[in-house]
Parts: sequence; C-alpha cells; structure tokens
Amino acid sequence: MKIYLNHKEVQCQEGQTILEVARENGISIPTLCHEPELNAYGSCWVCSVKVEGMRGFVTSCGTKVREDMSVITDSPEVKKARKTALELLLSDHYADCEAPCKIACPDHVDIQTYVSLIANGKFKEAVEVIKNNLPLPMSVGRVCPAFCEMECRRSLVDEPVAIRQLKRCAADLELDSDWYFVHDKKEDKGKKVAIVGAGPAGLTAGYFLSTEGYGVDIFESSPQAGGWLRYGIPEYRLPKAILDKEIDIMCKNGMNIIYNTKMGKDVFLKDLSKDYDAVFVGIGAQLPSPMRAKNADIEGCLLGVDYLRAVAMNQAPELGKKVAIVGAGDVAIDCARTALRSGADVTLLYRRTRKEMPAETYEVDAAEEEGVKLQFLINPIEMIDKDGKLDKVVIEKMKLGEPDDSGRRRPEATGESYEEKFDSIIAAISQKCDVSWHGDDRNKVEHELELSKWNTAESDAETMHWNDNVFAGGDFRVGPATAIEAVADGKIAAMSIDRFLRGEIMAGTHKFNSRKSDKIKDMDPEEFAEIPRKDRLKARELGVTERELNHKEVEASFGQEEASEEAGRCLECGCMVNTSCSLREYSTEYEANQDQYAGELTKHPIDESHPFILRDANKCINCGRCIRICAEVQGPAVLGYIYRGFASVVGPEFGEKLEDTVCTTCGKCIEVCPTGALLPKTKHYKNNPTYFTYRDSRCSECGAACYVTIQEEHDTVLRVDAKDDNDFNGLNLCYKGRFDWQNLDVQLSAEDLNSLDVPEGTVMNISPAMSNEMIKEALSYAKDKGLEVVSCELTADPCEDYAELKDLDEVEALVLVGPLNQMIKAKARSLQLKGAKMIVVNQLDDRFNGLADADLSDLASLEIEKDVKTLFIYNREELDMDMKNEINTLMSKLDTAKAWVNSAYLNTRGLESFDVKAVEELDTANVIVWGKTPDNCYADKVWRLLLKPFHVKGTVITDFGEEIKL
Amino acid sequence: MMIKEIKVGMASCGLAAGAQAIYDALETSLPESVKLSKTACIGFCYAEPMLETVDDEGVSRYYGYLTPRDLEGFGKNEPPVKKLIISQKEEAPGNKKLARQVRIATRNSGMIDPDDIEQYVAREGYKALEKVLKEMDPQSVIDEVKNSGLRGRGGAGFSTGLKWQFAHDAQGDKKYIICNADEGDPGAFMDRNLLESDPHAVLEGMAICAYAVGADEGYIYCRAEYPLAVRRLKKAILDAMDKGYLGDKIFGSDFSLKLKVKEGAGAFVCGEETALIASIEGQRGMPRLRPPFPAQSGLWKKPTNNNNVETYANIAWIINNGAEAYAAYGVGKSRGTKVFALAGKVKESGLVEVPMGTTLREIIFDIGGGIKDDRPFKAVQLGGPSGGCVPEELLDTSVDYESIAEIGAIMGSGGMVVMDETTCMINIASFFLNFTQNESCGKCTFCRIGTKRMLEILQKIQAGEGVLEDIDKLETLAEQIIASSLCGLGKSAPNPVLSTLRYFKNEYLAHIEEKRCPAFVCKDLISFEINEEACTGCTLCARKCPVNAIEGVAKGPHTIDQDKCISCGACFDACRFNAVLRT
Repeated sequence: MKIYLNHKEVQCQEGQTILEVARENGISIPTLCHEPELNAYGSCWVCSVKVEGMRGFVTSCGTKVREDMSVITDSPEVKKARKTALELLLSDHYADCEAPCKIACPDHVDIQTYVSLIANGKFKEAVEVIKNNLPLPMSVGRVCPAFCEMECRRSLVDEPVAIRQLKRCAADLELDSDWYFVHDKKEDKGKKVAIVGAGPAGLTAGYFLSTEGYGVDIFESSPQAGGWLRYGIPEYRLPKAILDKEIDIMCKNGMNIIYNTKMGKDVFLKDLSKDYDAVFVGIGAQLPSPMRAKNADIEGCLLGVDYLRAVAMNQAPELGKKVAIVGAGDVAIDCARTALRSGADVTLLYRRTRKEMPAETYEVDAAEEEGVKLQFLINPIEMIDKDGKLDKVVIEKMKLGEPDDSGRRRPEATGESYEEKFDSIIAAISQKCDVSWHGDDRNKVEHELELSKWNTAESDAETMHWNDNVFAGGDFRVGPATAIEAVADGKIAAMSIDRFLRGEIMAGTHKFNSRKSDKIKDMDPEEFAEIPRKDRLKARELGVTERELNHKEVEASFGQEEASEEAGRCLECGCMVNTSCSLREYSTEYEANQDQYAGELTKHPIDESHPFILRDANKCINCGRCIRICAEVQGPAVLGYIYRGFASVVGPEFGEKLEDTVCTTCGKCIEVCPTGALLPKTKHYKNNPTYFTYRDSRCSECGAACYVTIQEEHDTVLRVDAKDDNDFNGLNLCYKGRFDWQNLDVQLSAEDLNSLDVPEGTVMNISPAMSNEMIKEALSYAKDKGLEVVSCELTADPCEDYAELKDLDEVEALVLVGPLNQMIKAKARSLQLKGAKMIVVNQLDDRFNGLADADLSDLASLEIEKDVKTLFIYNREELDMDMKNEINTLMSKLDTAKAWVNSAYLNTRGLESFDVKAVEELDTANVIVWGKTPDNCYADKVWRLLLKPFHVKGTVITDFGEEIKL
Repeated sequence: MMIKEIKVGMASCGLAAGAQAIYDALETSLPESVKLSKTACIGFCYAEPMLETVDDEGVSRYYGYLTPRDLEGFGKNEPPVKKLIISQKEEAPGNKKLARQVRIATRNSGMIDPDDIEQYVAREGYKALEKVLKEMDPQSVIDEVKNSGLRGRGGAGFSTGLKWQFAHDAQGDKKYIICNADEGDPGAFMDRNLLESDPHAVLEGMAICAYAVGADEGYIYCRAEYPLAVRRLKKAILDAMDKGYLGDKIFGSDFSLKLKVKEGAGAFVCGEETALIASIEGQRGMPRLRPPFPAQSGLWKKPTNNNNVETYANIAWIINNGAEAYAAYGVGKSRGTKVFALAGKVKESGLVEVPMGTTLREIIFDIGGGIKDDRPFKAVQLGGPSGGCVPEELLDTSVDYESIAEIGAIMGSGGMVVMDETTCMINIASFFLNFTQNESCGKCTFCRIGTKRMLEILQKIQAGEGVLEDIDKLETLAEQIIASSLCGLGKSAPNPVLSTLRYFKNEYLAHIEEKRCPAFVCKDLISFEINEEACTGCTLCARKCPVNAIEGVAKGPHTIDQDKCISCGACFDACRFNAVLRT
C-alpha cells in the first residue's frame, strides 16, 4: 500500500506503524518510550506526528498506516508539540547531565572524568583528559582560583573536593618524569596562523592549532613566554622552571615562538593578516592603572605590575625597609608577599574591610601568616617626599557606605587623615590593555576592529572572531581575569579558527544540559545527608620560617595515593550516560528549554541497594520501557508504576528496594532505559561518563556465547552490554554475562603448574571453559605427568539432534525444560512473540512461567503435533540423565524436533571432541582443577587457572556447534 | 383517605439524610393495617429523608424533610401537611417538576424495593429478556437498539447498536460484556442511584446485550465507594440466578450468562474502558493505545462490549416498548432521555430524567426550582471535571450531545453542577484540574506533567501573582494536552480551563490585572476590615475569628489585625450589622 509522508508518496506494508515507515524512508522521528521488542505503548508523546484529517496529534509508534494516509512529520506545529513534550519531561527531570564543576570551569575541563581516573590510579590518563581542554595544567593547577571547587556539591556534605590540587598532582607527572603527553599531531593542513602574545590564551590557541596541523608562529614582545604566568605570578606560587617545561611540551607539535617582537613596533597586524591565513590577538591586560594620589610620580612610588615583572626578570628594585601595598586583589597580595621575601616590612592598605577583599581568602591568610600587616578603611591620598624620594604617605580614614554595583559596600572618605612613614609604596589597583597600536594604519585590516570603552577587543564570545581573519581573546577580550579564562578563550579561538579555515560555520553546537540547580546555593543539603563525611585533604606547605627570604614554591603536591583517596570523595554528579542519553540528544536537537515549564519537582532518593543496578528515579521519564520489558519479556515483573498523576513514579511495588524483589539481575532494564535512570554499577572502579574504547566480543560464561560489547578504559573493563544489532541474543544477557565479570578472581599463570609436585593418583579435572589451545596444553601436561583427564562439569548428554542457529528462526513450538538462564528465557520469549508456542516444564515458582502458553509439571503431559517444528531447550548441567533420556525419546517421536542444549561452559562440545570423559563426581583426594573452578568439585590441592572473561583466545565451540575465533 | 402503604426512600441519598431512623421508627409505630416497605431513590434528593404514602384510592403523596417527630401523624393517618412535597393526584398535571420528566432508565427508581426481584418482575421485569430469547435473533436485537437511536450514556455518545454490532461481528471463541459502573465525576450520582434503586434493570439490559453480541460472561465494574450498590447488585445477581434469569440455559434457551461484580479501587481513570479492562485483569488501571478496540481485543484479549450503567438500564424498556417509542423522544441525533444529577447551588437537587432537547434553563429552573437563596445564576458545569462551564447567556441551549459540544462543554455522564455569584471561576477550574491531574494515570507526558503545570499557573493567578502571559501559556498548554493525550482523561482535562477562559475571561483579568477576586473566594486577593461606625461592639466576630485577629472591647468598635488575618471570612459571615467590609 502507499501513504504520503510529508506529501511524498511512499510504499509500505499493511500492519506497519508510521514510525517504521518513516524510518525506512530516512525520516527520523524521535521516540523515548517505544520498545521495539513490544507492541506500541504511546506514553512519551515525543514521536508525535500529524495525520491529515485527524484531530490532534497521534503517536507515530502507535499508529498503523492506512491506504493513502497523509502524514506530516516535520511541520512547525509537529516540532512544537515534540519540543513541548520534551520541555514538560525536563521540567520534572531532577538531574545533571554534566557535573556542576565542569560547567563552572570557564574552560569546561572534564573534571569528573579526570578525578575518577585519579581515584582509579590512572594519572597519565587523567593528564590526557585534562589536556583535551587545558594544555598547561602544571601552571594552571598552581594558580587557578578553582571556580570548579566553588560549585562542588561535595561542599554540601563537608568540603569541596580538592580539584585544583588533584589536577596539579596528575600534571606534575610530566615534571617528575620523562613522560609527557601531547595529542597526536594531525596531518599538515598547509595553512598557518599568527598569534600575538604568548600568554595562556595565545599558547593554548597555538597548541591546539599546531596539533590540528596548522603552522603556528607566536609573536611575543617579552624575552620569554608565559605572559602573566611568567611576569605576574610570583616564583613562590609558580616556579618558572615548571612554566618553562610546560611551554616546552606545548611546543612539541610544532608551535614556534618568536621572542622580543612587539606588535605595532616590530610586526604589524595588517601584514600578519595578509601573510597568515588567520591571526589571533591575545595580548593580555598588563598595563597598570596609575595610583590616584597626589605626588605619586616620585621615586619610591611603584606600580604592582611593573614591580612583579621586574622581580621576574631578576631586576628587582630596591624597596627600602618599610613598604606599603595599595589594593586588595591577587596582584596586591602577590606584591606584598614578594616584597616580604626581599626582607621588607610590608603593610597592605585597603579602603574597605577584609570582607570586601577580592583576593582569594587562602592567599590573604597566607600573606598574613608570613607577616604582611593588613590595614583597613584607609586610603593613601598624598605622597610627601624628601629630596625627591618618598618619605611619608598621607592616609585618609574611610568608612563604608551603601553597596555599589558590585554588591560590596562603597568606601567613603571621612576627611580625617594622618601621616605615616614609608620607603616605598606599590599600587596594585587594576590593569588594562595596551592598545596604543590600535590607531596606527599599519595595524588595520579591511574591516574595523572595534574596541570596547574599556579598550578591550569586541570579539565574539562564542567564536573569538573579531573581524576578517582576525580573532582575539583572553584578557584582551574580557579585561584582567584568570589564566583559566584565557585558556578557555584560546581553546575556543583554536576551534573556530579551524572551522573558519575549513570554510565552516564558526560557532560550535551547544549540547542541552539538564541541571539540578544553577548554583550550589540553591541546592538542598538534605539531599546529601546520608553521605558519610570525609575531610578534604590539604596539600603540605612550607612552614612560614622556611619561606623567609626565598622564593621557593610554598605549596607541595599530593602524593599519588593521597590524590587517589581525595579523588574518591567525588560524588559523581554528572550523568554516567550523558553521551548516549536519548532525552539529552532530542533536547539538543529540539533546542528544548528546561525552564520553560518550571514548577514543582518530584525528588526521589537514589536506590543503591542492588549490588549491580542503580535506580535514580529523578532521571526517570515514566516511559515504562523497563516495566514492560521486565514484565512482558524477561518475566520477573519487578517494576511498576506507583501513585497517580504528577506523583507517579516507576519502582518496585510498594516502594521496595530493587534488591528485595525477585529481580534476576539480567540488566535488560538498563539496556532499554532511554535516560540514566537505570545504570550498571561497577564495584571496584570509580566510573565516569567518558568511556574510551568499545570492543565487540562473545561472552565466555556459557555455551550460548552471547554477543557483547565491552567498554574499557585503558584496559580496565567498565561495563559489558549486549552488542547492538546482533540477531542472536539481541539486547539480552543474563546476570553472568552482564555483571559476573566483576566477581572474578585474579588470573594465575600457567607456568605455576610446572613446578608442581604431583602426588600419586592425582586426577586432572579440566574445565570446558577454555580455548581449544588451552585444552590441548592441559592434555599434553596430563600426558607428561601420566594423569587421568576427566571433566566433572561435562555431564553426559544423550541428545541426538542438536539445533543449529538457523533452526531458531523457523521454530514453531518451544519446550523449556528445567532451570534456564535469563538470556535464554528472553530469547525464547522473543521467539514466542514472533508466533511460536512456548511451553515450560520446570515446576518452578517463576513469574516467567506466567508468560508461557502452557506450564506443565512433567514431560508426560506434553502434547505436540508431529509436524510442528519443535525446539527443546534445556541446560545440560541442570537435568538428570533420566530427564535427558526422556527428552531424547520424545524428540525421536516427533519428526522435526531439535534440542538447544545449553551448557554452563563455553566449550563443552569442544571437550567431547577431545575425548575427555564426563564424570559426576571425583573419588580422589588429589585433583588438579584446570580452568574455572566448579562448585561441585572439591580438591586437596587446587590451582586455579582462572580465565579472565572476554579474553579467551583461540577457538571455542558454542551450544550450536559454531566455532568462534576469539 | 386511609394510608395503605408507606415506602421509605432508602438509597444512599436517603440513608445519608437519616432514612434508616425514619424506617425504624415507622416499623415500631405503624399500625398493622399499613404496609411498610423500602424503596430507593425517588429523585427528590434535596428533600431526603422522604417517604411516599399510597392511600386506599391508590394516590401517592410524597413527604420530605422528615424528622422522627413527624412520624406520629402517619400512624394516625394525619401526615404533616407542610412536609408534603407532591401529591400526585392534585399536582401532577400542572407540576413542572414532574411534567418535564420522562422516566425510562429510572422507570422503577423509587417505585420498587430494589432488593425484591418480585417487585421488578411485577413491573414487566425480565419480560424483555424472555422476548429476546424466545422471539428474536441477535441481529434483530442489535437492529432494534440501533433503531432506537440510543447512544452511550457514559458520555462519549457512541451509537450503542453500532458498538454491539462490532462486538457481534468480531471473531472469537469467547466474548465478554462489561458494565461500566465506575462513576467518578465529582457531583455525579446517576449510576449509583440506578444501581441502588433498580439493579435488575441493569442486569436485564446486560443479559440482552450478552445474547446480542454472543457473550456468556460479564463483569460489572463498580466503584468500591458504592458499597450499597455493590451489595444490591450482588443480591440481585443471586436472585436472578435463582429465578433462572441468569446462569445456564436462561428461559430454557441455549443462552447462558455468568455475571460478576468487580469492585474498583478508586482510580478515576478506570472509567476509561481500556484502563477498566486492565484493572479487571489485575493490572494497574492505565489506558492503552486503540486500536485494537475492545470490540476486537478487550478483556483477556477477547472481543468485549462495554457500556455504561444507564445505557444498559434503557435496553429492556426499548425491547418492551419498541425502538420507535424510544426514538420518539429527543432531538436530532440525540434520541430518548438522559438522566442528570442536579447538584450545586440549585434549590432542589436530585436525579432527573428528561428527554433530550430539554433546555438547561428548564432543568435548572423548572425542575430544580432555581438558585438557592434566589441569588443570580452564574454558570453550570456540565460533564464533570472534564466538562465545561456554561454561562447564563447560553441557558437556553438544548441538552443534546451536539449542542452541548458546540458550546465547549460535554454531555459527559450527566453531572450538572450549578454555580452562583459566590463561585470563583478560576477556583472552580483549579478544583477540577486538581482532580483530573491527581487522577491522571501518569502515563502520558502531557497529561501527567502538563496538567500539573496548568494547575500551578492557575494557583499562581489565584495567589495574585499571575501575569497576562500566563493566559497564553494556559491556552497553549491546554491545546497541546488535548492534542497529545492517549485517553479521554487527558484529552478533556483542560476543558474547565478553556471554557472558563472562553466565558469568564474578565474574571481572569480581574485576578491578574487588578489583583481582585470578584467572587471573594481567592484568599490571597481578599481582605476584611471593620467599619467602625457600623460596628456595635457585639464581639461576635472576635469570638468567631479562628486566629484571634480581631481586637476590641465590648460595645466598642473592633479592628482586624491584618498581619494575623487569614481571610477566612468567618467575621464577615458572623456580623449581623454589615460592619465587616470585604474588599
């Protein structure tokens, strides 16, 4: 039949849904509740489409096509309906896609991931994650004010995670070893970029652009690179040797720095713009604001920026004994502590009070500890000289008035003043950008490069694009700020310059971001009440006396063990599936606004009771897929809706914990959850949302050999899922396949056996759960030692007609005998849903039996017609020989019956092919158990040669006689 | 005149008003010459407890507002004249209350003792079933129902005959019928009274339906909050089985029918047929996608016919009297009669049955006697929480499916709540929306969250924090919820908001722009003050104030402490000197 999709005629089959036909025709329709294994449900309404002639919208998953039906999938009203559905769901989605620390970081460094890696002891990997955004972590790890820590949710429990120190600890690996990390350099793109200024913004842009394959020249006016990091931050906070090393590493991908070359004097912007494919201007804001006091140009009056720069260049001026510092920002504190180290008696003068000081509190405390005197509510208004040199400062007393725009109370003069004697005074009030070059024609490009009224570049905040092929960022764009903000601009500039040079739209896409709250102050600490307190670790610092008269680095790094422990305090706020969540994907696509329908939120405690499955109802969108798959395919039916209306929530009945239900831990609910409401737990590893590698394999836990995908992070298995789009097990795995790898023991080496003293009468029991190569090795070992080889896991099986995989597609009746694993039951159920009759014979009180067409107590009551293609399914280790014989006899009476004999071991039939005998029990005290230890065998001496799951090498044979090369 | 028989109305409406005490007292005081019996709802619920006397001439008289003190007269054949409500002999012809009504579904209500199957049989009971089984084939039964023009009385108004036809035509080795007695609309009590007053009429209708569609098993899904109805139904089923009207080989035919009562657990959404079916099956009552319709795949995936109580109650009458007789009543595509539960600020509330096409004004003023305390009429809410509010200018609208839908309301199951000027329309919209939003099954996004967000906006407007954009937001959300919900609950939940916005927009604007509630209902928008000149210092207001916000000495003027006042209005209601001012 035909229908019209967006007015275009398309062919389709009767019985298909609009969703199916649309997908066949390449039209994507979002859906959250549709579960392909089951009939349509229609709860999320995200798949709305318009059928012409029908009132309202219909669900495309739940509406079957009719001849000549006209369906509209992409009109503005349809899109609006979908967007509204998403926005309503989001209005009650109490969850964070990204961790608040990552959002708070101007450079959006993936903090949660690198913190988890540090917790897992993977420091080098952490450095890689950090450098994806921040290529100079050693420096920033020392000087950053840590915006991330201010939003760290851990502070609602006790104190924020020491993120800055963790970053520094990982980054310092490069300092203490020969190892370093730079991204692989991409192929040369044949284009080059000029960068003006080798500060954090320019260096970052240069690093990423050179990595991307561009030629990069940085023009730096000073003799060395680093910008403010070198000439503003004192040695005791950031030793310059570290900065040197960091810049060296950043240059590994070919970034070239040309020193002592100033724009407007040695090079000109017009030429750069012409000679290079793009230019990035990151000249910073290093021009000091003058002191607003009378007679401030006499000897002995200095400006903070000049002073720090002179010290950094080993040209420190003579300050005299008594030094005053004016200001209360970080630069003022840096000046004070630096002056103190030259042996001066330092007093800091501030117009307001300690409370209003903009400097970091810990810096102020450190300065005071070291001996800097702080004086408040005073302001120097006049310098009095003696022979042209500063002698006394006239200081006016101040008082606090009403709050100003910044929210801080404004200082007001009292008219009362006094004089105090000082040898030098250093004003560290503010900095601005040096734009003296800007008016010069030689620095003009085709279009106007506009400046703001604060003399900063009016470049675009999203792309750093200024005009023509010129970009600008860092302090030159925002005014004096922090290194991390400059790095962020540099990274954005690199990305948009790359897009610009490839002729693409410069702005990047913004992913939708669900938030529990915008700011930590809006969070209810009650939510964290149950989390045990654990103090934040403090890095060791030099004692005050150790700091005297030297510029040694004050703060030490964490040791690695300490760092791992501290990283363990991370609460893992960011959603573990934020890269695969369908809700996030569609919300991004439809530009949904979480606040559009903001209202009451339902908050739920997170159920962590189950050892392997975490349930976070706050992220649940009531789509019902988990409920339905558990009840209608898997069988246990442990989930359901509770309550009604807005309060309705998915969970085990009566609000039980998942662990208290008959859940078989098959994990199918996790597979079908479109959000992060159901997640796998990893016991021995601190997870993060960023999995690095995916590997397809076959499960080695039983003979079914299900298709799996293993997610690994640097050789550590983090998660095992059913492989997408496989036509054998589908999304089904049993507990063993999905989770049991977490319970496996350590692997021993085969060589351990050679030194073994084997007593007389020892029998070798070998496990079928091995590759053929390993079985051969075991057999040859046994032959050498003269051992009898048996397998007590391998019980005899009289089956005469094994099924092959293809038989599963044609089956008309299924007879499930005895206990079976969840994957096989789900497989049988899916065959039943396709039309086969399902009969269970197991005398089990199992809810799955409720799905069967017949639930028989014994095989004698089984009635099957001769020509019905019947498949007997049983587990060879679970049935006794009588039962197996009974099945075999039954099969011989039927014309088309076959058996799917599942073995608890992958290679059972492989073992038979090696002539290994099956035994029920061993009657000897001495057994060498080769391979996975079976529960039913006991041994005097057991050497386990445990197989690491999913790492079986060699050939294995499955239930269906398939030979799989692993 | 001698009283020969006294019937006491003992449906829920009567029992709640004290009918049991009346009955007990009569039982001990009446002379043996007077027969005392029970009946159920007579329809004049406003006057309960009440009774009917039948004199030696066969004339009935109805007495209401009774207290045990009034009973003495009945024993002495001197009933209290002022408690007489209607005397059939003297008043019936000119009494508008009676003349406007045609009792088909309620033909036996208040006439017979519902627990006595003989009384039902005596009034042509089970005659229709016998006729059907002996004289008609299923198709001719269906044709008769089709020709009568009967439409689903649960609210949707789908042709009953056509529905039966679908179930009849559906292939299946087993079929079911269901009677939907999950009456959940606030203010509606038609089904309850039908079940309490005449359960056999419903059972007979079901039996005829089962024969017509080919079912042999049926369920009556009844609210557990209707214990009396459940008890009477269960007894009626047993009695009917005893008599051979239900069970195996009914009237000697090959037709058998087993009926069961299933009590609902109180979810409003279980009135929706797919949710109701899920509930009978033991699952959570949640609507599912249609198709497949229950007629193809319903209870236990078998073809199933589901009708409302009132629909079934009409069937036997139609068979006995013919489709034409039924279709003679009504207008346009709406034929026959409809039962309404008249409630709210109307003088004479109760159960009424009128031909389709009667106007709202006739029902409210002629039958209902007008508005309580003769206040001005403001609106009538039709169709329960999913219906709409109809303003005065539309009172002459004919009550039929089409006309009601045209004015933005729905027929629904027959709830009719009358409101006067003391009702705030935003408060009423908020009330109904709160009901539907709490009763949403939680499945569909728009119904679960959208109605909640609409309710929050209404509450914001009631609190005086509304802005004009909220009206747009309400309208947008309402349209989206209607367009994107699976079942009737969601599709109609925004109706009270839309209809009040349509007819009472000024009231919304008063709340938003002037921060004023014209009906003086929204507490955040009203305040009370005492006019010192009018105040006599009687201290009554101060004594009534629940939060001790009124101060003053006896015989001196009183004042209200606005910080303490909770705007409850107790002082306003208490003051006899109009000294409390409300703004």
